[in-house]
Amino acid sequence: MKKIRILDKTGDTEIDFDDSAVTADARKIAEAAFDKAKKSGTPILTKRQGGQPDMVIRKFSEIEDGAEAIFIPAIVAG
Amino acid sequence: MVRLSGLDQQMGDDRLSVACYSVIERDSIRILWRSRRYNWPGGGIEVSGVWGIRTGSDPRMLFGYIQELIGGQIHHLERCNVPDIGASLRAMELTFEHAINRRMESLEHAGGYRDNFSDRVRVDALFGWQALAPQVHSPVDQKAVKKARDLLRDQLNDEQRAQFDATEQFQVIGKDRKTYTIKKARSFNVTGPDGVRYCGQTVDTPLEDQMLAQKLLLENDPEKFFKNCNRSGGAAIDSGIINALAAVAGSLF
Repeated sequence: MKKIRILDKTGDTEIDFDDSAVTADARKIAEAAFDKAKKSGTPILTKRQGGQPDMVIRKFSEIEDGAEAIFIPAIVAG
Repeated sequence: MVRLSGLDQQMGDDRLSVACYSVIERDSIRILWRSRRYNWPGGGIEVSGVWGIRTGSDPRMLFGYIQELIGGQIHHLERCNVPDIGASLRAMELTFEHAINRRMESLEHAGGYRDNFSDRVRVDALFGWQALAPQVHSPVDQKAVKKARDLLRDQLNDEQRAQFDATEQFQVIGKDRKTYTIKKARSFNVTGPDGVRYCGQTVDTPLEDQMLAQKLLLENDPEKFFKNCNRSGGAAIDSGIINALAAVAGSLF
């Protein structure tokens, strides 16, 4: 199962999905969130299996099973 | 030897009170902490800051500017009969902080002030003096804050988590191999190894989410963070002085 966390005003919104038909709707929502995060923010993959380092996600397909993808919203100058 | 003195004074405006404290360092650096409150019928706005200046420099150059900036804005909102002055001022907190920081920087560059101290300014609009209608002041979503805090702690390593639990800040090693300190504050909360402070914020998320975002960006895509940051302060200063001043500042605030 793949998990994404979108940082937002609720803390974060979690979406779990895999490649099965059962989670097709969740996968669509996750993919839309990824497209949005890639445009205005930064999606980053953390807690990868085998202790691999975090990485910036360039493609939706790079989201790995067992890892956490955190979608960082846009950073604005304060 | 550090000597501390304090005084309260009215600045000629019956809505303004100033508390000034100075620390005289043995090498003649005067560091000034201030907290002043600007009042309006519904509450107040407070400015506090730490600023490094030379002995003999006149801090009123900055005080006068702040009085004009914030006091002037309150007058303007009152004259325009703005129904919710508190909300307007709250929305302007960051704008005030930026303007005051910029004035600090320009005074430093104009000479006569010391510019190798890590200055900071914080502006808080306060609503504690009378009951507010619910639409004026949004309560903090404690559930969201807890969720964000739990996520942040989960993403920290053991050392970072211990730092955060103890001090509400932690250090990260950026992709550039430099060490950054991320503090629990909305503005200018990231400090680089050279003392430069960075202000790159998330919008409409709990503070802990912002800290997590800053951590992950510094570790994985620092250019994206720095591209969208304001900077303040910098240059080297003896760390012993900083520690001594921070200890005194903590006791004042």
